[in-house]
Amino acid sequence: MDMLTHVSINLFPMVMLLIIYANNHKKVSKAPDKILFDILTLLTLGLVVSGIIGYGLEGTPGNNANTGLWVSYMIYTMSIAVVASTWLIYVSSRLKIWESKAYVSRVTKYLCGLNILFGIFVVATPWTHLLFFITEDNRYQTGKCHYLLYFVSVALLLASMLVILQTCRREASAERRAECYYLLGCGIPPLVGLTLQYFFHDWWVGAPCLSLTLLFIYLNTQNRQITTDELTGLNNRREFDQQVVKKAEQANGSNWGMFMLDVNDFKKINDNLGHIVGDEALWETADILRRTLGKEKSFLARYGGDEFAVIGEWADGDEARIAIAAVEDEVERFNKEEGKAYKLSFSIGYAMWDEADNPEELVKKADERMYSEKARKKNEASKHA
Amino acid sequence: MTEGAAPVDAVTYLQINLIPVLALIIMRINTGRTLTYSWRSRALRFMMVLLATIMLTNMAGWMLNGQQFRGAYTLLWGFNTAYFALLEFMAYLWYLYVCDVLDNGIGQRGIRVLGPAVPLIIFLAVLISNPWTKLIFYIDEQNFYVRGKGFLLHTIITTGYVLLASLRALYHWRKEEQDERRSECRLLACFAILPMGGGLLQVVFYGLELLFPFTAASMLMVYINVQQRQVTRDALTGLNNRRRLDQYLLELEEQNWAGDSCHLLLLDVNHFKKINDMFGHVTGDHVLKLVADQLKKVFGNTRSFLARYGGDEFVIILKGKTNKEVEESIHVLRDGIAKMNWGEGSPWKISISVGCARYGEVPMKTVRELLNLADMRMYEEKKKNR
Repeated sequence: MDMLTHVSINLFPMVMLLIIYANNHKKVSKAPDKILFDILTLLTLGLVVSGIIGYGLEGTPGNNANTGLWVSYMIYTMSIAVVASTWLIYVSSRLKIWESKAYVSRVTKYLCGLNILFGIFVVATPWTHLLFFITEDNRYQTGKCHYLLYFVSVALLLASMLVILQTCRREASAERRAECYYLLGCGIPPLVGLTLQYFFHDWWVGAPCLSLTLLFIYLNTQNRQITTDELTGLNNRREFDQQVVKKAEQANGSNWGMFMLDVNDFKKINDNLGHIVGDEALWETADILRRTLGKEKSFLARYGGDEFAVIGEWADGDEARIAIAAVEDEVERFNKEEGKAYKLSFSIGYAMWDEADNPEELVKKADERMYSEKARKKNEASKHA
Repeated sequence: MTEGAAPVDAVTYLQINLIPVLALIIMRINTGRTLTYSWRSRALRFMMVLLATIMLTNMAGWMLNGQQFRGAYTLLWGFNTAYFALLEFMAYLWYLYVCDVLDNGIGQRGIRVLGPAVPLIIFLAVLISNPWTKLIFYIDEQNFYVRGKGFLLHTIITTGYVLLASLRALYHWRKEEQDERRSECRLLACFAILPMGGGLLQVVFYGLELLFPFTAASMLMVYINVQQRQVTRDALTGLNNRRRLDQYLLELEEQNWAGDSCHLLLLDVNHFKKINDMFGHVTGDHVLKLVADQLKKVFGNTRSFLARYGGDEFVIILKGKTNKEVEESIHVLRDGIAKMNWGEGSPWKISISVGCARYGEVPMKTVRELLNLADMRMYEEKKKNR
C-alpha cells in the first residue's frame, strides 16, 4: 500500500478527531470522564498523526528520514499501549468504580508496570529489532516479537471488557446495565481494528476504528445532555412530554398510567439548609425513584423544580397504588436510616390512561390529585401541630 | 470518478471510504432520539444517508471497473448513473437546507423548491439521455468508465449549488447581529472549504481520495453544531438554557469584560407559582413562552444574550448599550407585556420584576457579584409590587 493511500485512510479520522476535540475541549465541566475523554482523543490523534508521518517518510532516503522513521514508529507503538491503558481507566471512571481506592491502586500498579515494561521494549528496539526495525532504504519492517504490541493492547481491551462484565453482574438497575452494555459495545471497534491490523499488516485500521468509537461516545454524551436532567440524572421535562405523547399514540390496547410527585416543603429545605442541601434532597428523591421503580419498565423524569413524574406500565389503579406504596416505604426507610439534616416527604397523585382522552388531560388529572394530596397532608400537619 | 483505470484499486477504495461511511451511519443512528421532526432535521438526517449511499455507489463503480463478467456492463451503467444523479440531488438538497436555516424557515415547499431545482432537472434530463449522447460518461468495450465531453456540466452544477449556498451564508453573516446566528452562518459558508480543499488536493496528488471523506467531515461539523445548539437551548422557550448561561458568563469573565459596556437584567415573572397552581402546568408553560416571545421581540436582533435562568426567571445580557437605552428597552418590554395581557384576554395577567446592573458601576471582580446585584434590585422591585 503506498503512502498516499495510507494518508488517505488516516486523514478523515484525523480531521474527525480534531473536530471532536475542538468541540469537547470548550466545555466548562471538570468531570473526570470529560478529562479522560479529552486525553483519549488527543492520544488517538497522536496515533493517527505519527502513523501518517511514519508512512509519509517511508522510502525517503537520508539519515534524517531514518531518524524520523524510528521516532515516529516508536511513538506510534508506545501510544497504542498507552491508549489501551487509558481506555481501561476511562471505562472504570464511567462505571464509577474509579472511585474505590483499592481498585485504583491495584489497577494503577498493573498499568504502570505493564507500560514501563513495554516502554523498555520500545526504547530498546533500535538495538534489539524485536518489535520492528527500519531497513537501510528507510522502510518499516516488523520484528520477531511484533506480536507483542497487539498482545499488550488486545489484553488491555479484553481486561476492560472483563471489568465491565464484572460490574454489570453486580448492578441492579436496568439503566446501569444498559450503560455496561454500551461501554462493552464501544470496545469492539478498536478490538476489531487491531485484529485486522495484526492479520493484514498493511491495513493500519486500529486507530481509525478507535476514532469511530470516540465519535460514537461523543455524540451519545451530547444526546444525553439534551435528554437528561443534569442534577438528578433522570429524563428531563422535554423527554417526558415526548414520552407521554409517544405512549398515547401507541395503539396496543394495554393500559398504562403516570403519577406526579411533589417534594413537600422543598422551599423550606432550600431556605433553611441552603441550595446545596436542597439539590442533594432532589438527587436523593431521584435515587429513591430509581431504587424502587428503576428495575421495571418505568419512565422516570424530573418535571421541574421540585416535581417529578413517572410513567408506568400499570394495568389499573391497583398496580399504580402498589408502585406508589413502594416509593412511600422507601422514603420512610430513607428518613429513618440515612440520618440526613432533612426529612423527605412526598405528595403523589396518579392517573390512568383509560381515564383520559388525551395526554394533557392525563397529566392534568395526576396534577390535580397530587395537589389535593398536598393540601390533605398540609391539613393533617397543621392539625397535629 | 476520474479517468479510465482507477487511481487506486478496488480494495484500497473500500479501505479509504469505509471509515467515513461508518462515521455517517453512526451520526445517523445518533439522530434517532434528539433531532426533532422539523423539515430541517429530516433533511440533515437524509443527507447523511444520501452521502453514505453516494460513497457506496462510487465504491461499487470503481470495484466493477474493468471487470469482465456477465452483467458487469449493465451494472456499471447503473451504478455510475445512480452516482451522478444522487450527487447532483445532494448538492441541490444542501442548497435548500442552507436556505431554510438562513431564512429561519419551517420547511421548503412549493415554488421555493422548484426554482432552485431547475439546474438539477436540466442535469437529470441530460443524464437520462446519456446512454445515447454519451455526454457525461460512457462505458467502453473493456468495461472501463470514460468521462464524456460534457462532464464539465456536472462539475459546474454541483459546485454551483454548493458555492451559491456558501455565498448566501456569507451575505447573511454580515447582516446578522446575534453571535449565535453569525457563527451558524459562518459554519454553513465554510462547509464548502473541506470538500473543495480535498478535491483540489486530489487533483494535485493523483492517488489521494479525499473529496467524499472530507465532505463527510464537513457534514459532521454541521451535525455537531446542530447538536450543540440543542444542548444549550431551553426546550420550552427556545432561549439559552442555564448551562449555556453559566458558560457564557465564564467566557465574559475570561475575556476580562473587554470592550463595551455590559448590562445584566434579571427578570422574574410575578406570582408564577400561583398561576401554575391555579391554572395548571399547561397555562404556566404558555405564560413562560409568551414572556420569552416578548424578550425575543424586544431584544431579538441586537447584541444580546437571552437565557432562561430557572423556573420563572430570565437573564438578559446586553452589550454596548447606554443606561438610557437599557431603561428604554425595559420600558418597551413592559409595554409589550401589557399589550399582550390585553390581547390574550385571559383571567391571569403577566407582570414582571426586573433588576438591572451594569458591570463596573460598583467595583466588582466576578460574575457572581453582577448577578447578585441585579438579583437584589429585582427583589426590591418585587417587594414594591406587593
